[in-house]
Amino acid sequence: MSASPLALILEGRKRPGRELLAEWVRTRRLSNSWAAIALVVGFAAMLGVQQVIEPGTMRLLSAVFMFVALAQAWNLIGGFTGYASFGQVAFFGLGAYITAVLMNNSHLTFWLAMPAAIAGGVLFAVLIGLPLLRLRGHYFAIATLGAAEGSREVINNMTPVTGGGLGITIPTFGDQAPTPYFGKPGFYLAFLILAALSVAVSALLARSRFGYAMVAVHEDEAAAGAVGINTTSVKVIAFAVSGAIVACAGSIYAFQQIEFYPSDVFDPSFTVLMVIMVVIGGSGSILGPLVGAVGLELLSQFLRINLGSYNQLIFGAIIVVVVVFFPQGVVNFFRDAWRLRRISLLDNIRRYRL
Amino acid sequence: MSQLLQAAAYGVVQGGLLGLVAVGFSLVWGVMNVINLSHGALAVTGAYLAWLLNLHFGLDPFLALPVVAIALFLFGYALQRGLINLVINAPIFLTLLLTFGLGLVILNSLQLLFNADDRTIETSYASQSLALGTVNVPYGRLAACGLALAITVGLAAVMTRTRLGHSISATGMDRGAARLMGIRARHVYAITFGISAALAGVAGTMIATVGSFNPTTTPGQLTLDAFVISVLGGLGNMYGALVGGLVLGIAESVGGLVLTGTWVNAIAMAVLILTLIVRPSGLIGKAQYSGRVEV
Amino acid sequence: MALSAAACGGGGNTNTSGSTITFAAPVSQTGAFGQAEGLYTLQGYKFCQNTLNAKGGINFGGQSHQVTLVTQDDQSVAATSAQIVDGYNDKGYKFILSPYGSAGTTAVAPVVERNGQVMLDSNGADTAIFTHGYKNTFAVLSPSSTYVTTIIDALAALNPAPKTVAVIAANDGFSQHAAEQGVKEAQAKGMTVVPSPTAYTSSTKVAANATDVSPALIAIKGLNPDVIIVSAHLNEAVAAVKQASELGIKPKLGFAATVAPPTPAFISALGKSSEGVLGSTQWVPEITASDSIFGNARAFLTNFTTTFGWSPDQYPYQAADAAAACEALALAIEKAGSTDASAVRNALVSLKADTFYGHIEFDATGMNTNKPMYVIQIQSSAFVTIYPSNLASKQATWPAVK
Repeated sequence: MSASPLALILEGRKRPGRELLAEWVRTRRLSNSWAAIALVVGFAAMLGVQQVIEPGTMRLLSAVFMFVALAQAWNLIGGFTGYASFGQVAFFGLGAYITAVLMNNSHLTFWLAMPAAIAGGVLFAVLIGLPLLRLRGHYFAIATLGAAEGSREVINNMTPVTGGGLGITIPTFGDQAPTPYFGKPGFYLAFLILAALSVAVSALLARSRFGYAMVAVHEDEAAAGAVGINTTSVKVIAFAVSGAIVACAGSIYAFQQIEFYPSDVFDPSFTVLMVIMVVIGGSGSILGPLVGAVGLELLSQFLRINLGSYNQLIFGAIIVVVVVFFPQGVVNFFRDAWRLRRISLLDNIRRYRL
Repeated sequence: MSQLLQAAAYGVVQGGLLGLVAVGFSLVWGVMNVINLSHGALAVTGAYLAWLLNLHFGLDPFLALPVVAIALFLFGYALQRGLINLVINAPIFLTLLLTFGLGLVILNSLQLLFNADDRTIETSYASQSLALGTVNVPYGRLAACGLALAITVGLAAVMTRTRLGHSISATGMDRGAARLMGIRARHVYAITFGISAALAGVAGTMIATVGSFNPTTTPGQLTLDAFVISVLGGLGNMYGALVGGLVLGIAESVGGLVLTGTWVNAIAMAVLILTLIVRPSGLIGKAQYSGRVEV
Repeated sequence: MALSAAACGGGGNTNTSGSTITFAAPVSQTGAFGQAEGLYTLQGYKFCQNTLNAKGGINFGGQSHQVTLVTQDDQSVAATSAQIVDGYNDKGYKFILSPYGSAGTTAVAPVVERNGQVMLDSNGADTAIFTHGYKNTFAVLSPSSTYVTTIIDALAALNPAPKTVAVIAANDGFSQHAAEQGVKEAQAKGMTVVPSPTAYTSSTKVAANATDVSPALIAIKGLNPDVIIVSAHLNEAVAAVKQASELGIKPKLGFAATVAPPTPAFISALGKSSEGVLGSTQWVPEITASDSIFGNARAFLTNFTTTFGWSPDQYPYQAADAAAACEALALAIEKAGSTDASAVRNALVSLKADTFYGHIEFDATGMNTNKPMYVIQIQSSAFVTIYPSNLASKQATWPAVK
């Protein structure tokens, strides 16, 4: 097997599409379709929810959807492939700035700027991925962190193009607007679609040959290479898909915010939140990041609204408690508990303590 | 030319201070494979302690160092023994998250206790400087730099010459084997973290003396600095943090003068990444640490 | 409010009590501004609410309306401020008081515009907020462009006036705009800016929130400016004063900075080194105008500092900005005689009021035109007004450095 992983995924294409589709439909059972059904039902439910909530609540839920996409994206490279990127916010910031610069300086529509932002994310992923994905563990983490800090400084100093520290504004009022502003319902829909797509992409990749290749690289990279997996392209492709999703989120976010500064969209706390959401939800699964993102974002908003000055203190304490009691992630914990028919938090602590 | 000399001199003393910030972080990372994201928060805790001692008892910050170090050591020991040891065998991200949460708790508590104002410890000497021709070397940073050197040399001596140091190194290399030799890993880990916290407290006190600190932006900045410097210098060598600190200090100071705007920060990151690509083990680190795949 | 009671011609307040009116604000209780500038802003809003209600609330249509202040923590994150204000719109809260700072206000302004809410900006000074044609944002404070120019004017009036100045500016919108105008003003006043202004835009720029500004200072070393002006926030200004001393850089006359010196935290961070530093501020207690809610500026200061436990020598001017924004909104509602957002907006457009904060009147872009800035000097750990000279409470200690 010397073909690239991408070719392996696409191998099935040798047969005519109609035949493939027919086979796919024939093999559908509840047991192998529940995830797809759940996704469609969830998507439809969220569309239903949109009809009954108020616009400001839509904005709050848009943020939840955005974090679902960000967590899924981080999970692809950090969870499945095992390369913990601490610099995913670089893609977010680049996506935001590519969108804003194209819409503001070149008066392109959002529908051109967003694909450009995604392309930019992919390009950046390949450019920094090729050298950096040779590093391992913490060293990859710190290198990507450096890449994110560095790209923020580049944007900060390209004042003639990006406005630098003075910030940038996407024209959205009157005749100035290249694309009419979406409004709260529009951004709700945009982030919902992005979240659903990111879940779908992750699920498809996870179940494909490529998914096994990612996990193989995670488990033992040398062995994966030995059995013919082109580890470099697996890593770079996973990184690029992740970067594309994050850049797309950054692009929509930029349009939603209208005005922002480099420090807003390159804020390292975006990366930290992605990591927390994936790890607390349960990394290396599809449900984990989903649960982590929804749960933590809602929790953080709830604490912020209700606890005033104490909210971050309590949020920190909750993270500590969850890490100690659910070290394998909430989703993995309950799945194991269901399978083994026993729930014991003490087992968890016994497993990892010294 | 005199500007370049001045920048270089300032970079050296600033680098020493940066090394002091990183040395404890690097120790815990090397021995326990824990990236302690609460390192900056611990340093600021030390800074507040020294500030309080100065405010209420007029204690000079350098005289307050032993008190701060002992207090932080005990705090660090308790943290490791009671909390971090609970997840020490879990994948690395959990300890990272745990210390992140811990950092949030510490810095928000400090903010609620002392509000978010910037603080400084006033001394008659720290902001004065030794004038060598056109080059000025500030006493405060010079002393901090000397302290960093002394602590590093002392720490290296402890690690290579004492029983405790051997226990720590041995546990860091192979915990299973160390335990078979009768080393109590829980205790050794707690001592290691205690030392690291004490060093963080010392660094925080120095920052408070030569500059200023607050509970909101200082902890994150210090943790980031420590992270970068540890990688730059390399793990597994007690002098790594000092070397990394000096390189970063000089590069930022001289680079900031030569380059326009804030490009120097972008260049610093590029240098960091290049170092990693060319020499993943850091400038003087041991290769075994960069080979660890532990995510 | 006594003002309208008098206008009604009656001796006593005969108004019946009407429905309460909600003022809603995103405030920073955690994060970088939490327990600092965000807290001062919140205290100003609270003080305004309490004082306003004690004086009988907002009176129109024969009824007096109490004011309720609704706040939510934005964690010092601009996007969260914007999200909060969108949430307020659901609840029908049309009257918004701005969060602390330019970044938050910049993010909220378009939201307010789109929802048809009305925002009174208390602490977002970046000129950029007013260049997008927003119709629903009104700032009581002077814009960023005036922060350094005022310092230059004050310096020119001092004896001896500086011949050369150096300007260090942080790389954020507020500080850059302020420095840009300041350099022009300095040249117009015949001062030499070192390094020459072309170099200034690059070599003396420091990262926003930097705690190490030594490269910028070393670039100045040897050029011997009479005054070093720091256009930045607290971190950079504190670092500049400390590190200048470390590097043996002694400006012949003194230091000046924009927003940092008039905050109590500047004195707490620098101790004795803060002595003699000049700072530009939005408000000083010597302002002569007064209003029926807070009285004059001095009375505001006394009552505010007593309520929140501040020393009258070191007060957060951000609270005065906040109270003035809240007051302007109350005056406009009373003038409009309605709680309809667009009616209140129109009332704001034509509002002309003398208050403890000075004269409030907005131009077409929503800025409080012609409001002057003031300059204080730190003397014996107290803020002393030194400019404009008719409001000066004491002589400036000048040269400030010995």
